[in-house]
Amino acid sequence: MASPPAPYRELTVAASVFGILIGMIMTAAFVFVALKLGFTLPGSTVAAILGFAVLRGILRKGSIVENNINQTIASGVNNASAGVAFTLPALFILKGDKPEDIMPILLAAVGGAFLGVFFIIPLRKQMIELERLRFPSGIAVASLLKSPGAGARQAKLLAGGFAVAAFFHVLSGTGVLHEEIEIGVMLGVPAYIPIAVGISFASIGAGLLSGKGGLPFVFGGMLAWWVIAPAAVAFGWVPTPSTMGLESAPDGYDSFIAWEVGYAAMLRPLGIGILIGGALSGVIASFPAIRAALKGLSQAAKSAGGSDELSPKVLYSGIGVAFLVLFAAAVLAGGDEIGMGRAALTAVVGTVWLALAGLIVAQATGMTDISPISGMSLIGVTLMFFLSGGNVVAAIILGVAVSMGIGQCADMMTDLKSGHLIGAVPKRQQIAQFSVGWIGVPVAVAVIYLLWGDGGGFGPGVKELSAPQGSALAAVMNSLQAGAAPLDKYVAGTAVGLGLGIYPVSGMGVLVGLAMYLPFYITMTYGIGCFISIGLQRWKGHRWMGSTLVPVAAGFIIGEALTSLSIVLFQLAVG
Amino acid sequence: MKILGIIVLSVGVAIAASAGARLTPKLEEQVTLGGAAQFRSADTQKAFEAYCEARKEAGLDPADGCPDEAAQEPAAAPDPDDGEGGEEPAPPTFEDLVAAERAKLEALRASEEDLTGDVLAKREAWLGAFETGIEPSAAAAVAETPGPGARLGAWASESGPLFGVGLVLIVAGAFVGRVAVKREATREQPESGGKDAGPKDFGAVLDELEAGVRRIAEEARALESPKREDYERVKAEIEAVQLDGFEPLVAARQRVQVKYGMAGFAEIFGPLSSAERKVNRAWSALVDQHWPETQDSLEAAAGELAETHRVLQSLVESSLMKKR
Repeated sequence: MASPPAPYRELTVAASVFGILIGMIMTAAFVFVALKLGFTLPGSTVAAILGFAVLRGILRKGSIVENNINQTIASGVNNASAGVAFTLPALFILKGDKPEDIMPILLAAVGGAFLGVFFIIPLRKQMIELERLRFPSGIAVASLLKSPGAGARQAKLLAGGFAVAAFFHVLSGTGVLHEEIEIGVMLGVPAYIPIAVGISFASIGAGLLSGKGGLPFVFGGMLAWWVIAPAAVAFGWVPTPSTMGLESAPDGYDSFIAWEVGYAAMLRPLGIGILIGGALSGVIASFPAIRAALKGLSQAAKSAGGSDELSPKVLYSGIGVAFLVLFAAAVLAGGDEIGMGRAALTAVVGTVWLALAGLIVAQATGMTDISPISGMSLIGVTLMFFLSGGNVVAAIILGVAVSMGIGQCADMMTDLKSGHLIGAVPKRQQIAQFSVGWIGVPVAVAVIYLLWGDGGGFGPGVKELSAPQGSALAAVMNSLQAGAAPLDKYVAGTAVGLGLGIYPVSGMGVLVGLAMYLPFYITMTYGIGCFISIGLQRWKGHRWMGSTLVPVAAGFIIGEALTSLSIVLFQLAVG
Repeated sequence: MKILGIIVLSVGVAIAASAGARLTPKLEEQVTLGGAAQFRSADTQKAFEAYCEARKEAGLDPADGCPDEAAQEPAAAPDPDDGEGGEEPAPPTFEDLVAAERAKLEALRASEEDLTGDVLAKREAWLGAFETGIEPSAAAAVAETPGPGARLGAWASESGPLFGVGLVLIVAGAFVGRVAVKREATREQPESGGKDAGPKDFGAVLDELEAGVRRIAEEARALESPKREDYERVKAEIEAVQLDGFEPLVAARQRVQVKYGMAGFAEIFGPLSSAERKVNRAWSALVDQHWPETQDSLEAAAGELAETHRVLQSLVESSLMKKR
């Protein structure tokens, strides 16, 4: 009698152990990178490349879906690098010392990580199966995982895209080319009407994969920078040389108007508000679908053959447990200053905000591959600051939870998109991420404590480790303590976002808000990809897009991610 | 009509976002003071660097805070607060700051160093810039930050009406857009025709897809020991189903949404997407040479498509019942 066939390799020990190892190494390395350079690298893409090379290339035993699990685990662990490294250092910088009680930090970060995974359970159906969001990095990773079976032509196209992106990224990363080309400045157009593109083939690739769906994002950017900014100048809503007591416009006046007034004080906070309003209206509009999705999950869970999805019971109980963890973190972090009632309120609002911000970040990532995590974390910290009665320690520690959670949402959703395209079982991916999402937290926190050393190991003024994101958050906390919070912009933006939600294009508010939240050259670069994609679709047709454009665009995204990693490692190696 | 909706919506967003972005008078004043201080400070720094350069060219030793090249410190105009320490002082007033800066200026002017020509002129220019910048810097430093509530109130009274007009236009444009999309979606024939499967042919495309997947699943089940050519053939058949079967259905999702509502749409697309994922899994298993998984996934996909068909049928029937 023939023995039963070996099961199809998916959630295996090899994929799990290797994923955890890669994830822990990436976490430690990317925390350092975040403190030094102020950004981390696209974890999912890097993990997929490393996992693919080792499991498939060296060990020669990884199946396509097993590689996806490996990448899900590695990026799930690594998510802590951004979640913790962008927020926690602010506490060290503001106190001038390391926090003695590490427990609330660990609790908050772990609670946030779990919440992020739980909230994804109903959102997966909504965003991937119903809204059909593109998640360009998810498509890129799926293209890479599918490459062994996609044929020689597609492999060549992927490699070609990779080479082009890598070549240009090396040139811009090493300073041979500028990171952005300011065409407007060359033509004598003022800096507050920017006409600029970035040298980023990953952004072009994301635009190529988004096509027509990305247009509201591009138009939002054009509206912000080609209509609102010049109108504000024309109507005298910004400081003029005469109101500043200057005889004439000094050098840098246009840049000051563009960046410090137009962007930082006007458009960016308004964009955050529109993102919030857009997401709220999206929740309202999609409520019947989300309810249907949850109903479907319940029915599937009860079916005899089992389900490919996690049961909604896991969602509800997970949210309950994570809320309790956040509550405990608030009590421990607030000390005597925060009573039980305030701690409970803080945990409730923190949980609700995390869900909404997770939705915003997942939608933005799904539509453009750009994630407004820092803006959403900023609002989270601001909310926590006011709810905790101005307690900076509690606000930042709960901000760590929010940052962890929303990062987990965006990352998990991208991995689930790759999984959908290659036929992975979502339940296995979610269990994998749920099991390991907390592992990166102690690694990231330990690296931060180690780098702080006996004091002053990072922060403003420390040349080697200036912790740009942590320093910026510390500055925000100082301004919050002085009473500054652009509530008017948030409220106005939320109203605009809610209004845009009535228009029958899903995610319109989120896309327009994201465009105002970002510098224009990013939007423009992405827009070039969208316009090329629309043109090619008309010219070459849908079939050609799938067989030719997708692998090229995937190559762009993967090429830039891997080159970024190489450049950063090189920079760290040579000091 | 769709274009009209987009135009009204865009004008509304432009007006509302412009009004929303507008700074309150108090904040505009604060930004203006900050800008004035920043530009004056930049002028002072520039004049200071020019003075230091002139000293260097004249062969004079560093003084007045000019950088000592041996120490390799970057050039920065001397900070009047240098050397102060101890307990955190009470916030200084405008007058305190101006007085402190003026004292610093007087100390610099009292220098007895004998300078002539270009160095002297550059020093005077620097001190002149320093003096001009004293009051703007002090004003920016003590400018009060309006609180969140005050900002919201001031913004609403200043920009609220214009913002309201923009918001009304956004809502109007959005509703016009909704009506246009609904009309377009309920037309019997889709505007673009051809490849875009509209509501009329959604069921037909689904039928074809279900039959196609079931046929491949049966074909795969019948092969116990597949050869290399079998793998290639089934893979090609799956790729054809992915492109010609699922994609037209996915492209028609907005029409399905309009016709059956959000909940009905979710009921149809739940099993349909599940079927798509299982077909994708069958493809991956083929590439990984795992025939049993390919067989199971294709059968599961066919089952999900049958479920999609059943849901669609019941939605069509209930929609007909409502019409009657």
